[in-house]
Amino acid sequence: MNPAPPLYILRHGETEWNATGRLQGRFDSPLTIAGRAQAEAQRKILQANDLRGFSAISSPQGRAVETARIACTGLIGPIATDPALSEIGLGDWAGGVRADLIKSSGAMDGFDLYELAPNGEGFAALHARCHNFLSRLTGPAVLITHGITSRMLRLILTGRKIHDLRDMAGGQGVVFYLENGKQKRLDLGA
Amino acid sequence: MTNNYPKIWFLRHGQTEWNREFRLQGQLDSPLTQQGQAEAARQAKIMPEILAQNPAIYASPLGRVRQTAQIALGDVPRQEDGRLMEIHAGKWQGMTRTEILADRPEWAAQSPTPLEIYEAADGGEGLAAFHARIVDFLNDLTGPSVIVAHGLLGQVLRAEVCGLSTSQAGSLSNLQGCVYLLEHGQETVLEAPE
Repeated sequence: MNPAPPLYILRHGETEWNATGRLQGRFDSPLTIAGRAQAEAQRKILQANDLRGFSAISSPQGRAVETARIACTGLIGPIATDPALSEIGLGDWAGGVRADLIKSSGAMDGFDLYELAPNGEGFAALHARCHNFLSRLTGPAVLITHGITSRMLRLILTGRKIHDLRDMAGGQGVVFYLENGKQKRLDLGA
Repeated sequence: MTNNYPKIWFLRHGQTEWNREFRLQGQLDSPLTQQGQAEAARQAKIMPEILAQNPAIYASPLGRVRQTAQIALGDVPRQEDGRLMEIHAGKWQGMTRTEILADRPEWAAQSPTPLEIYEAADGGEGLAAFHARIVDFLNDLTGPSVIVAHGLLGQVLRAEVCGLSTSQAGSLSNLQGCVYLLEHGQETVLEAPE
Protein backbone atom coordinates (compact mmCIF):
# COMPACT_ATOMS: atom_id res chain seq x y z
CA MET A 1 0.00 0.00 0.00
CA ASN A 2 1.22 3.50 -0.84
CA PRO A 3 1.72 5.80 2.14
CA ALA A 4 -1.72 6.92 3.33
CA PRO A 5 -2.60 10.62 3.37
CA PRO A 6 -3.01 12.39 6.75
CA LEU A 7 -6.20 11.23 8.47
CA TYR A 8 -8.30 12.22 11.45
CA ILE A 9 -10.22 9.18 12.70
CA LEU A 10 -13.28 9.52 14.92
CA ARG A 11 -15.48 6.95 16.59
CA HIS A 12 -19.16 7.83 16.91
CA GLY A 13 -20.39 9.16 20.25
CA GLU A 14 -22.00 6.99 22.91
CA THR A 15 -25.27 5.37 21.86
CA GLU A 16 -28.13 3.97 23.90
CA TRP A 17 -26.80 0.46 23.34
CA ASN A 18 -23.21 1.39 24.22
CA ALA A 19 -24.61 2.71 27.48
CA THR A 20 -26.35 -0.59 28.25
CA GLY A 21 -23.47 -2.88 27.23
CA ARG A 22 -25.03 -4.23 24.06
CA LEU A 23 -23.28 -5.13 20.84
CA GLN A 24 -24.38 -3.17 17.82
CA GLY A 25 -22.42 -4.43 14.86
CA ARG A 26 -24.45 -3.47 11.83
CA PHE A 27 -27.49 -2.68 13.96
CA ASP A 28 -27.96 0.88 15.09
CA SER A 29 -29.18 2.94 18.01
CA PRO A 30 -29.31 6.71 18.53
CA LEU A 31 -26.68 8.82 20.31
CA THR A 32 -27.31 9.58 23.97
CA ILE A 33 -26.95 13.10 25.40
CA ALA A 34 -23.42 12.12 26.43
CA GLY A 35 -22.80 10.87 22.89
CA ARG A 36 -23.81 14.17 21.37
CA ALA A 37 -21.53 15.99 23.82
CA GLN A 38 -18.66 13.71 22.73
CA ALA A 39 -19.32 14.64 19.11
CA GLU A 40 -19.28 18.32 20.12
CA ALA A 41 -15.91 17.74 21.79
CA GLN A 42 -14.62 16.15 18.59
CA ARG A 43 -15.81 19.19 16.71
CA LYS A 44 -13.77 21.44 19.02
CA ILE A 45 -10.71 19.24 18.50
CA LEU A 46 -11.09 19.35 14.72
CA GLN A 47 -11.72 23.09 14.81
CA ALA A 48 -8.29 23.65 16.35
CA ASN A 49 -6.64 22.05 13.33
CA ASP A 50 -6.09 23.14 9.77
CA LEU A 51 -8.54 21.13 7.73
CA ARG A 52 -7.88 22.75 4.38
CA GLY A 53 -7.82 20.06 1.70
CA PHE A 54 -9.54 17.47 3.94
CA SER A 55 -12.72 15.68 2.92
CA ALA A 56 -15.20 14.02 5.30
CA ILE A 57 -16.06 10.35 4.90
CA SER A 58 -18.43 8.57 7.28
CA SER A 59 -19.77 5.10 7.79
CA PRO A 60 -23.35 5.16 6.45
CA GLN A 61 -24.72 3.82 9.76
CA GLY A 62 -27.00 6.19 11.65
CA ARG A 63 -24.83 6.71 14.74
CA ALA A 64 -21.79 7.58 12.64
CA VAL A 65 -23.58 10.02 10.35
CA GLU A 66 -25.24 11.64 13.39
CA THR A 67 -21.78 12.11 14.90
CA ALA A 68 -20.34 13.37 11.61
CA ARG A 69 -23.11 15.89 11.30
CA ILE A 70 -22.32 17.34 14.72
CA ALA A 71 -18.54 17.14 14.44
CA CYS A 72 -18.02 18.26 10.85
CA THR A 73 -20.88 20.38 9.52
CA GLY A 74 -19.59 23.82 8.64
CA LEU A 75 -15.93 22.81 9.19
CA ILE A 76 -15.55 20.49 6.24
CA GLY A 77 -18.01 18.85 4.04
CA PRO A 78 -20.17 17.66 2.55
CA ILE A 79 -20.07 14.30 4.31
CA ALA A 80 -19.68 11.37 1.95
CA THR A 81 -20.66 7.95 3.26
CA ASP A 82 -18.79 4.75 2.46
CA PRO A 83 -20.02 1.29 3.54
CA ALA A 84 -16.37 0.23 3.93
CA LEU A 85 -16.34 2.27 7.16
CA SER A 86 -19.27 0.31 8.67
CA GLU A 87 -18.78 -1.53 11.95
CA ILE A 88 -17.60 -5.13 11.86
CA GLY A 89 -20.55 -7.45 11.22
CA LEU A 90 -21.61 -9.43 14.30
CA GLY A 91 -23.89 -11.85 12.48
CA ASP A 92 -26.40 -13.52 14.77
CA TRP A 93 -25.08 -11.77 17.87
CA ALA A 94 -25.83 -8.18 16.89
CA GLY A 95 -28.03 -6.67 19.58
CA GLY A 96 -26.85 -9.15 22.20
CA VAL A 97 -25.61 -8.18 25.66
CA ARG A 98 -21.81 -8.29 25.73
CA ALA A 99 -21.46 -9.78 29.23
CA ASP A 100 -24.07 -12.50 28.57
CA LEU A 101 -22.45 -13.51 25.31
CA ILE A 102 -18.99 -13.72 26.85
CA LYS A 103 -20.37 -16.00 29.57
CA SER A 104 -22.42 -18.26 27.29
CA SER A 105 -19.84 -18.58 24.51
CA GLY A 106 -16.74 -19.04 26.64
CA ALA A 107 -15.11 -16.12 24.85
CA MET A 108 -11.89 -14.83 26.36
CA ASP A 109 -13.07 -11.24 26.18
CA GLY A 110 -15.24 -8.84 24.20
CA PHE A 111 -12.87 -8.91 21.21
CA ASP A 112 -13.17 -12.68 20.98
CA LEU A 113 -16.90 -12.34 20.34
CA TYR A 114 -16.24 -10.80 16.93
CA GLU A 115 -14.39 -13.94 15.83
CA LEU A 116 -16.86 -16.39 17.39
CA ALA A 117 -20.14 -14.80 16.26
CA PRO A 118 -22.10 -17.13 13.94
CA ASN A 119 -22.33 -15.49 10.51
CA GLY A 120 -20.10 -12.71 11.78
CA GLU A 121 -17.62 -10.92 9.54
CA GLY A 122 -14.45 -11.75 11.48
CA PHE A 123 -11.22 -9.80 11.79
CA ALA A 124 -9.55 -11.09 8.62
CA ALA A 125 -12.42 -9.88 6.43
CA LEU A 126 -12.54 -6.56 8.26
CA HIS A 127 -8.80 -6.18 7.77
CA ALA A 128 -9.20 -6.74 4.02
CA ARG A 129 -12.09 -4.26 3.87
CA CYS A 130 -10.11 -1.57 5.73
CA HIS A 131 -6.98 -2.18 3.68
CA ASN A 132 -8.95 -1.82 0.48
CA PHE A 133 -10.59 1.36 1.73
CA LEU A 134 -7.26 2.95 2.65
CA SER A 135 -5.74 2.08 -0.71
CA ARG A 136 -8.63 3.87 -2.43
CA LEU A 137 -8.10 7.16 -0.54
CA THR A 138 -6.99 9.98 -2.79
CA GLY A 139 -6.35 12.73 -0.24
CA PRO A 140 -6.39 13.81 3.41
CA ALA A 141 -9.66 12.96 5.14
CA VAL A 142 -11.62 12.99 8.36
CA LEU A 143 -13.09 9.50 8.85
CA ILE A 144 -16.10 8.92 11.10
CA THR A 145 -16.44 5.27 11.97
CA HIS A 146 -16.87 2.70 14.75
CA GLY A 147 -14.91 1.19 17.61
CA ILE A 148 -13.53 -1.93 15.95
CA THR A 149 -13.27 -0.51 12.45
CA SER A 150 -11.37 2.52 13.81
CA ARG A 151 -8.91 0.20 15.59
CA MET A 152 -8.39 -1.87 12.45
CA LEU A 153 -7.75 1.20 10.28
CA ARG A 154 -5.23 2.55 12.79
CA LEU A 155 -3.61 -0.86 13.17
CA ILE A 156 -2.98 -1.00 9.43
CA LEU A 157 -1.83 2.62 9.29
CA THR A 158 0.70 2.09 12.06
CA GLY A 159 2.05 -1.12 10.52
CA ARG A 160 0.81 -3.54 13.17
CA LYS A 161 -0.53 -7.09 12.81
CA ILE A 162 -4.11 -8.28 13.39
CA HIS A 163 -3.22 -9.90 16.72
CA ASP A 164 -2.33 -6.43 18.05
CA LEU A 165 -5.91 -5.25 17.65
CA ARG A 166 -6.65 -5.57 21.36
CA ASP A 167 -3.79 -3.22 22.16
CA MET A 168 -5.11 -0.41 20.01
CA ALA A 169 -6.48 2.42 22.13
CA GLY A 170 -10.11 3.38 21.70
CA GLY A 171 -12.37 6.02 23.11
CA GLN A 172 -15.33 8.22 22.32
CA GLY A 173 -15.09 12.02 22.24
CA VAL A 174 -11.47 11.88 21.10
CA VAL A 175 -9.81 12.11 17.69
CA PHE A 176 -6.87 10.09 16.42
CA TYR A 177 -4.52 11.81 14.00
CA LEU A 178 -2.56 9.51 11.71
CA GLU A 179 0.33 10.63 9.58
CA ASN A 180 3.41 8.84 8.26
CA GLY A 181 2.59 5.67 10.17
CA LYS A 182 2.35 7.48 13.51
CA GLN A 183 -0.73 7.86 15.65
CA LYS A 184 -1.49 10.82 17.86
CA ARG A 185 -4.46 10.92 20.24
CA LEU A 186 -6.09 14.35 20.43
CA ASP A 187 -8.47 15.27 23.24
CA LEU A 188 -9.77 18.45 24.75
CA GLY A 189 -7.69 17.77 27.85
CA ALA A 190 -6.59 20.44 30.27
CA MET B 1 -21.71 -4.14 -7.30
CA THR B 2 -22.56 -1.11 -9.38
CA ASN B 3 -25.73 -0.13 -11.10
CA ASN B 4 -26.71 2.52 -13.58
CA TYR B 5 -29.24 4.61 -11.72
CA PRO B 6 -29.12 8.29 -12.64
CA LYS B 7 -28.06 10.98 -10.20
CA ILE B 8 -30.62 11.24 -7.39
CA TRP B 9 -31.20 13.83 -4.68
CA PHE B 10 -33.29 12.28 -1.90
CA LEU B 11 -35.20 14.34 0.68
CA ARG B 12 -37.05 12.87 3.66
CA HIS B 13 -40.01 14.86 4.98
CA GLY B 14 -39.48 16.89 8.16
CA GLN B 15 -40.43 15.67 11.62
CA THR B 16 -44.16 15.07 12.08
CA GLU B 17 -46.29 14.92 15.21
CA TRP B 18 -46.35 11.14 15.01
CA ASN B 19 -42.57 10.93 14.46
CA ARG B 20 -42.22 12.79 17.73
CA GLU B 21 -44.48 10.29 19.52
CA PHE B 22 -42.77 7.24 17.90
CA ARG B 23 -46.14 6.40 16.38
CA LEU B 24 -46.03 4.31 13.21
CA GLN B 25 -47.38 6.26 10.27
CA GLY B 26 -46.89 3.98 7.30
CA GLN B 27 -49.45 5.21 4.80
CA LEU B 28 -51.38 7.17 7.44
CA ASP B 29 -50.34 10.76 8.01
CA SER B 30 -49.77 13.54 10.51
CA PRO B 31 -48.68 17.16 10.04
CA LEU B 32 -45.15 18.51 10.35
CA THR B 33 -44.14 19.90 13.73
CA GLN B 34 -42.41 23.29 14.00
CA GLN B 35 -39.12 21.42 13.99
CA GLY B 36 -40.24 19.56 10.85
CA GLN B 37 -41.05 22.81 9.10
CA ALA B 38 -37.65 24.20 10.07
CA GLU B 39 -36.03 21.05 8.64
CA ALA B 40 -37.85 21.53 5.34
CA ALA B 41 -36.72 25.18 5.34
CA ARG B 42 -33.11 24.01 5.73
CA GLN B 43 -33.60 21.75 2.72
CA ALA B 44 -34.95 24.76 0.82
CA LYS B 45 -31.56 26.45 1.22
CA ILE B 46 -29.83 23.49 -0.43
CA MET B 47 -32.22 23.21 -3.37
CA PRO B 48 -31.47 26.19 -5.66
CA GLU B 49 -28.17 24.74 -6.92
CA ILE B 50 -29.86 21.39 -7.47
CA LEU B 51 -32.91 22.80 -9.23
CA ALA B 52 -30.59 24.77 -11.52
CA GLN B 53 -29.62 21.39 -13.01
CA ASN B 54 -33.22 20.87 -14.18
CA PRO B 55 -33.87 17.51 -12.53
CA ALA B 56 -37.17 15.65 -12.76
CA ILE B 57 -39.03 15.92 -9.45
CA TYR B 58 -41.01 13.07 -7.88
CA ALA B 59 -42.83 12.99 -4.56
CA SER B 60 -44.93 10.71 -2.41
CA PRO B 61 -48.59 11.76 -2.39
CA LEU B 62 -48.82 11.61 1.43
CA GLY B 63 -49.56 14.89 3.23
CA ARG B 64 -46.30 15.20 5.20
CA VAL B 65 -44.33 14.98 1.96
CA ARG B 66 -46.58 17.48 0.18
CA GLN B 67 -46.07 19.87 3.08
CA THR B 68 -42.29 19.33 3.02
CA ALA B 69 -42.06 19.68 -0.77
CA GLN B 70 -44.01 22.91 -0.66
CA ILE B 71 -41.51 24.40 1.80
CA ALA B 72 -38.36 22.87 0.31
CA LEU B 73 -39.15 23.20 -3.40
CA GLY B 74 -41.81 25.90 -3.55
CA ASP B 75 -43.94 25.94 -6.65
CA VAL B 76 -41.62 23.95 -8.89
CA PRO B 77 -43.82 21.38 -10.69
CA ARG B 78 -43.50 17.87 -9.30
CA GLN B 79 -44.98 14.53 -10.13
CA GLU B 80 -46.59 12.45 -7.39
CA ASP B 81 -45.98 8.72 -7.56
CA GLY B 82 -47.74 6.19 -5.33
CA ARG B 83 -44.69 3.93 -5.41
CA LEU B 84 -42.96 6.51 -3.21
CA MET B 85 -45.40 6.08 -0.32
CA GLU B 86 -44.02 4.77 2.96
CA ILE B 87 -44.09 1.01 3.63
CA HIS B 88 -47.57 -0.07 4.79
CA ALA B 89 -47.60 -1.36 8.36
CA GLY B 90 -50.99 -3.10 8.26
CA LYS B 91 -52.81 -3.16 11.58
CA TRP B 92 -49.89 -1.52 13.36
CA GLN B 93 -50.33 1.81 11.62
CA GLY B 94 -51.32 4.40 14.18
CA MET B 95 -49.84 2.46 17.11
CA THR B 96 -46.84 3.63 19.08
CA ARG B 97 -43.59 1.69 19.24
CA THR B 98 -44.21 1.17 22.95
CA GLU B 99 -47.68 -0.29 22.37
CA ILE B 100 -46.36 -2.66 19.73
CA LEU B 101 -43.43 -3.87 21.82
CA ALA B 102 -45.41 -4.12 25.08
CA ASP B 103 -46.75 -7.61 24.21
CA ARG B 104 -43.41 -8.78 22.87
CA PRO B 105 -40.77 -8.40 25.59
CA GLU B 106 -38.25 -10.73 23.95
CA TRP B 107 -38.37 -8.84 20.71
CA ALA B 108 -38.31 -5.53 22.56
CA ALA B 109 -35.07 -6.64 24.23
CA GLN B 110 -33.46 -6.82 20.77
CA SER B 111 -34.42 -3.19 20.06
CA PRO B 112 -35.62 -3.84 16.53
CA THR B 113 -34.97 -1.10 13.99
CA PRO B 114 -38.01 0.75 12.64
CA LEU B 115 -37.60 -1.14 9.37
CA GLU B 116 -37.71 -4.47 11.21
CA ILE B 117 -40.88 -3.43 13.02
CA TYR B 118 -42.56 -2.58 9.74
CA GLU B 119 -41.34 -5.83 8.23
CA ALA B 120 -42.97 -7.78 11.07
CA ALA B 121 -46.23 -5.80 11.06
CA ASP B 122 -49.47 -7.76 11.14
CA GLY B 123 -51.03 -7.41 7.66
CA GLY B 124 -48.18 -5.17 6.54
CA GLU B 125 -46.68 -4.83 3.08
CA GLY B 126 -43.44 -6.62 3.91
CA LEU B 127 -39.91 -5.73 2.89
CA ALA B 128 -39.76 -7.81 -0.30
CA ALA B 129 -42.82 -6.14 -1.86
CA PHE B 130 -41.65 -2.73 -0.63
CA HIS B 131 -38.22 -3.23 -2.17
CA ALA B 132 -39.78 -4.44 -5.43
CA ARG B 133 -41.92 -1.33 -5.86
CA ILE B 134 -38.94 0.91 -5.12
CA VAL B 135 -36.80 -0.87 -7.73
CA ASP B 136 -39.72 -0.62 -10.15
CA PHE B 137 -39.81 3.13 -9.57
CA LEU B 138 -36.03 3.50 -9.91
CA ASN B 139 -36.02 1.62 -13.20
CA ASP B 140 -38.40 4.18 -14.67
CA LEU B 141 -36.04 7.09 -14.00
CA THR B 142 -34.59 8.53 -17.17
CA GLY B 143 -32.31 11.29 -15.86
CA PRO B 144 -31.22 13.26 -12.79
CA SER B 145 -34.08 13.25 -10.30
CA VAL B 146 -35.16 14.79 -7.02
CA ILE B 147 -37.20 12.45 -4.82
CA VAL B 148 -39.17 13.69 -1.82
CA ALA B 149 -40.47 10.84 0.30
CA HIS B 150 -40.17 8.93 3.58
CA GLY B 151 -37.61 7.59 6.03
CA LEU B 152 -37.83 3.85 5.47
CA LEU B 153 -38.43 4.31 1.77
CA GLY B 154 -35.24 6.35 1.77
CA GLN B 155 -33.26 3.70 3.64
CA VAL B 156 -34.29 0.96 1.21
CA LEU B 157 -33.88 3.16 -1.87
CA ARG B 158 -30.47 4.42 -0.79
CA ALA B 159 -29.31 0.89 0.06
CA GLU B 160 -30.44 -0.28 -3.38
CA VAL B 161 -28.64 2.54 -5.20
CA CYS B 162 -25.47 2.02 -3.15
CA GLY B 163 -25.45 -1.73 -3.76
CA LEU B 164 -26.21 -2.69 -0.15
CA SER B 165 -28.56 -5.49 0.87
CA THR B 166 -32.00 -4.69 2.26
CA SER B 167 -30.87 -6.24 5.53
CA GLN B 168 -28.33 -3.43 5.85
CA ALA B 169 -30.86 -0.75 4.95
CA GLY B 170 -32.32 -0.51 8.47
CA SER B 171 -29.03 0.62 9.98
CA LEU B 172 -28.44 3.44 7.49
CA SER B 173 -28.79 7.00 8.68
CA ASN B 174 -32.27 8.43 8.29
CA LEU B 175 -31.93 12.18 8.57
CA GLN B 176 -34.41 14.97 8.22
CA GLY B 177 -33.39 18.48 7.13
CA CYS B 178 -30.66 17.42 4.70
CA VAL B 179 -30.44 16.18 1.12
CA TYR B 180 -28.86 12.83 0.27
CA LEU B 181 -27.02 12.97 -3.06
CA LEU B 182 -26.68 9.55 -4.70
CA GLU B 183 -24.28 9.37 -7.60
CA HIS B 184 -22.21 6.49 -9.03
CA GLY B 185 -23.45 4.26 -6.21
CA GLN B 186 -22.13 6.66 -3.58
CA GLU B 187 -23.97 8.73 -1.02
CA THR B 188 -23.14 12.28 0.11
CA VAL B 189 -25.05 14.17 2.79
CA LEU B 190 -25.70 17.78 1.75
CA GLU B 191 -26.41 20.25 4.55
CA ALA B 192 -27.65 23.83 4.43
CA PRO B 193 -24.92 26.44 4.90
CA GLU B 194 -24.82 27.56 8.54
